[in-house]
Amino acid sequence: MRKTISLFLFVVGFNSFSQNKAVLYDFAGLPQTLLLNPGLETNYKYHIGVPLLSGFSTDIGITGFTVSDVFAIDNASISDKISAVLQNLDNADYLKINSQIEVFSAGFRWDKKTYISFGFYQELDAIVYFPKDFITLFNEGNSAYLNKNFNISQLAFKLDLSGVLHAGITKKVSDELTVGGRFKIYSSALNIESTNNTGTFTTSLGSNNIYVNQLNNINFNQRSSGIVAENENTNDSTTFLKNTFLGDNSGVGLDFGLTYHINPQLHFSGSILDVGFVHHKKNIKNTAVEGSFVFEGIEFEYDSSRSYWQELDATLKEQIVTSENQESYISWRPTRINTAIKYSFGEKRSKFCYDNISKDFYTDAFGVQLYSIFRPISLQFAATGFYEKSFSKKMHAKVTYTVDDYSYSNIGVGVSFQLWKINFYGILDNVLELSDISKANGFQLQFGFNLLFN
Amino acid sequence: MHSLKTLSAILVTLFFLSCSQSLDFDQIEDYAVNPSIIAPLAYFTIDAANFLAFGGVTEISETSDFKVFENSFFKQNLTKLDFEFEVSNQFNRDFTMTIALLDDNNNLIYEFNKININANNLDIKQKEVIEFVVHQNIINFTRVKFTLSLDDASIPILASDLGDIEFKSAVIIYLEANL
Repeated sequence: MRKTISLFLFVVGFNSFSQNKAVLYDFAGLPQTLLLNPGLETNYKYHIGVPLLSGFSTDIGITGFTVSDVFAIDNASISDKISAVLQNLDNADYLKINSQIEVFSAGFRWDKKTYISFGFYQELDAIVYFPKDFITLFNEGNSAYLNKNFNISQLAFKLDLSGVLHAGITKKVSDELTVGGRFKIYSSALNIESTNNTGTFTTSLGSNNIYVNQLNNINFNQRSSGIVAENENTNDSTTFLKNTFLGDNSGVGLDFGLTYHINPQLHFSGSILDVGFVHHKKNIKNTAVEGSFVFEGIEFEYDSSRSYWQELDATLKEQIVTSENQESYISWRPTRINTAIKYSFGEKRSKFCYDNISKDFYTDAFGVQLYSIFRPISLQFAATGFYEKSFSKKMHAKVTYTVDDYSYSNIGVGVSFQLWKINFYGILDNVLELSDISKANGFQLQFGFNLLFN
Repeated sequence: MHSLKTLSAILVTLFFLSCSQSLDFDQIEDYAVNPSIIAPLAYFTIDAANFLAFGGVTEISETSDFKVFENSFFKQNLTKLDFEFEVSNQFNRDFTMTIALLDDNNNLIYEFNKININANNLDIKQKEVIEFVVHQNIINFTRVKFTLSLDDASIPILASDLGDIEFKSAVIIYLEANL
């Protein structure tokens, strides 16, 4: 157990980046912002991302408690600490991990109004909701909980490892409006998910016997692809990584985005990302458990030769049916929405863009951004206020304040600067918690290197 | 420019200084889950006809498998078993219930205190606690035998004896398991 936790924290420690890339969104015209909104404006002639280093990000978030709540050295008993955590845990609390690594990315200007960008990235996306009722049942049993409905709908999780090959176009329609779209081909190497489960387990006083245990309207399902091949579990990481590139379990998706200048200093931008699905059809293993079962005990006849236990076992299997199949299934991508309004002010400067065209820009900007993602149990939201400062044509910084499920005091900071043609950006989120990460509910870091050519 | 350098320096410093307070993951070894699980056991209703069906016998019995300890989680982590019995006797006769826990070969593992079922007593409740530390052999029981006998065996139950005996039972299984 300790090893598992250490391994988990190790992974968390090395993957603490972000999916809601609040700092990166519309920041300094970076190529990676086109993955957050294909309709954002860029000013270079072409770009090449440094392979494997152009965009690396991960987002870890836990709601309901922090690592320090359980493992701090504070003389409190571990039982009391875990009880307190369980007491405060809510059905909607979860652990999520999202990690992306850009394998390659590039883009070029097709004409004055059109920019084409493309690339390939790998993504790990996982979310598991804490099934509070099951944890209570495992921890305390049912004897102190007569008449409580232990709810199976709390069992919800999703894990997907996939590769995304994409190509997008950004088109300046008029001086005010820029629109963009991106086509994506997903290839899922590993997928396991269980959502929309229903049913309850209840213990109450019975009529024929002292107690009665009831499983009511159980409908549990779990789908998986890429894990079981020819009845054997795949555990070779090379196989998984290979399957992220145009593998058998593939799908398509689209991103859309736009930027609209309300006036020279005020602009609105918005995007909807990953409207798409993956059709899982190879190495499938689906499990379903359905039915209802009322157990009041064994009703005895006397001096019979009945095999009550075997009969009970048979009745249970007949009424709670577990089935497996290899049917293909569709898994929807977690669709995300970004919107932002940005007001630019300060000193007005000119910079040279592609083809020696100069463009005015303001040194300062502030605004608000809203982000939401469709998750199995609910929509998750984040609201961000930001201030952006350009120190020169090639040096920019952005500070954000974000309110989300994890924190009401998340301050993020990002810098981007360019030396010759090499651009570097680095972003840290939740900086107030950096002095003690174990007390943080989420932590994000992103960085990347690109070559930009005017 | 100067402020950007300062900001970058702060960022880099923050990142490298970011740390965590001392944590002790060994604490988890001291943590144990303590589920107590209610399981309904046997129940029955018996009237004069049940005794007469066997030719006026004064004792009837029934045995059933009870294989909960085939599950290794239960077997390895048992601390206590709380048995609850409830009986209602409408007969004007005294009975005694004997309940024995047996292993696969019908060897006696444990016998409960006899339940005295007095005539016309409609509310008999009996509890019995089996501590694992005292009765470590208890996890080897796989069968339960219930025997109901008339206290006065010289007078069998007659068809004219009205009423019935209702019997209910349950067990609360206490476990303690380290993670």
